Amino acid sequence: MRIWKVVLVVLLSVVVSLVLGVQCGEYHSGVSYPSGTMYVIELKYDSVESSNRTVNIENLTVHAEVTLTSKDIDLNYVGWGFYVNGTGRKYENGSMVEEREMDYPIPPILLAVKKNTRELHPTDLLIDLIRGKYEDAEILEILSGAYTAHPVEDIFMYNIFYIEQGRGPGDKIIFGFVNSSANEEKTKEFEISYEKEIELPCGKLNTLVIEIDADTMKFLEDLIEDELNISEASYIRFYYEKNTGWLVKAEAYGEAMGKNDENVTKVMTVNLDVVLKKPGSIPIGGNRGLNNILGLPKFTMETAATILIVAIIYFKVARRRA
Amino acid sequence: MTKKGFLAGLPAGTIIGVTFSFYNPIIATFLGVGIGAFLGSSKKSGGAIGLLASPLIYLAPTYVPMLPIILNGGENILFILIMLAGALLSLSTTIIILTGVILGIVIGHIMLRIASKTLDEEHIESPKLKEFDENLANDRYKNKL
Repeated sequence: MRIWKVVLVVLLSVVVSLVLGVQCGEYHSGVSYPSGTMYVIELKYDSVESSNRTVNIENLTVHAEVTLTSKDIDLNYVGWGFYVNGTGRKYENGSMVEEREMDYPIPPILLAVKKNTRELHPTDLLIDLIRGKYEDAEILEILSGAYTAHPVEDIFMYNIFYIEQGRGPGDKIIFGFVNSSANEEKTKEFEISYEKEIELPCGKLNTLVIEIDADTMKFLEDLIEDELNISEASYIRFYYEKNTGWLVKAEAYGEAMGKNDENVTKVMTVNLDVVLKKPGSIPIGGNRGLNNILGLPKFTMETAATILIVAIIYFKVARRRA
Repeated sequence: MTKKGFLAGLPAGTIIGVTFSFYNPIIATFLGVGIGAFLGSSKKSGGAIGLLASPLIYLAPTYVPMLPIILNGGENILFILIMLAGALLSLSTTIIILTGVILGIVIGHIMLRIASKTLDEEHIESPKLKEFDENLANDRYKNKL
């Protein structure tokens, strides 16, 4: 009888530590494992080229849904994958010249997030793909690369999908890219500007807003090593849910104007909206996992599973005694 | 391998494991396989539960949130299957499955030992079995004579 009590206590403590362990640490543990998390992306790009004789208007619209998926790569890294599904349309002077359907699955073996950090590393497979190693390779060779893919630790970018827990207005969040093997670091700290309650398809959420204005946006010029004539009206806003620190909305507006040697003036505007449609496995609003997917109240499945564990132990002990 | 034990252990272990896999997939896999093998109560069913339940639990955070999307038919299922194949085809998944099988066999073996020990104790304590043993011994003695 004693041994069963010990087994029961051990199992229940594992369950309790699993559930409570979520809130510990700098980052919410749920943010490392996004799956079924869906964003809707709307992109509009307009460009007007005008000279003394001609005016050329070009428009580009993209409507896409991006679904995130994840899985463990090893004890320290979680692979992130994306599924992009959408349509892009290109118009010239008001008439559509091109329409493209997008269906891009990116399995969770190309990018890896280091647990309890915001480091997003490429895997050696991605580096090999970029370098063109698999251009003439056979499927078995690619599969063997996928099977043993591991993160490149020297290169990472700061993940924009989440920030630390317990942050507030005035706190600084780092963004950018680091390549320690080449001693290259292009990072910048941005301040959380204010708190705001916003309405999204998944409900009303308390968010922390990072607002990047046109002046601060100059860091982009360093990043792409090119001059951008960004107008004063330009901005980027990131909305992070206060509880988990997960990105729930992003909006960007950019205006730029230039004139070339042939006296042709070009005015470009970009409008980007990214909105969280389905939280999937991310515990937005405190609910997570199966409860979130099945639409059940908080901790319903966890309570049911714990009762099942107790019942199994009791059933085994009772049968032994009988 | 008891059929009942296997049929009870596999769904019970999987449900428990999948529930907690959203907190920590590795610990949840071992918890689910442990409970399943505990119910399975034999080496064979423990190993089989480990083999089947480990990938189901470990990859649950990857595939479970995709199920409503697949069921609603909103996305191209082929592309999602390619993505899931990418998740299944990895060294870490293989290691977790192998560890799950070993854990299932070990727990099944322990349960088998406990069960046989219990049977031995029952055998010693049962008055009817005691009487049967005595009669058997007497019969053998008479036959010898």
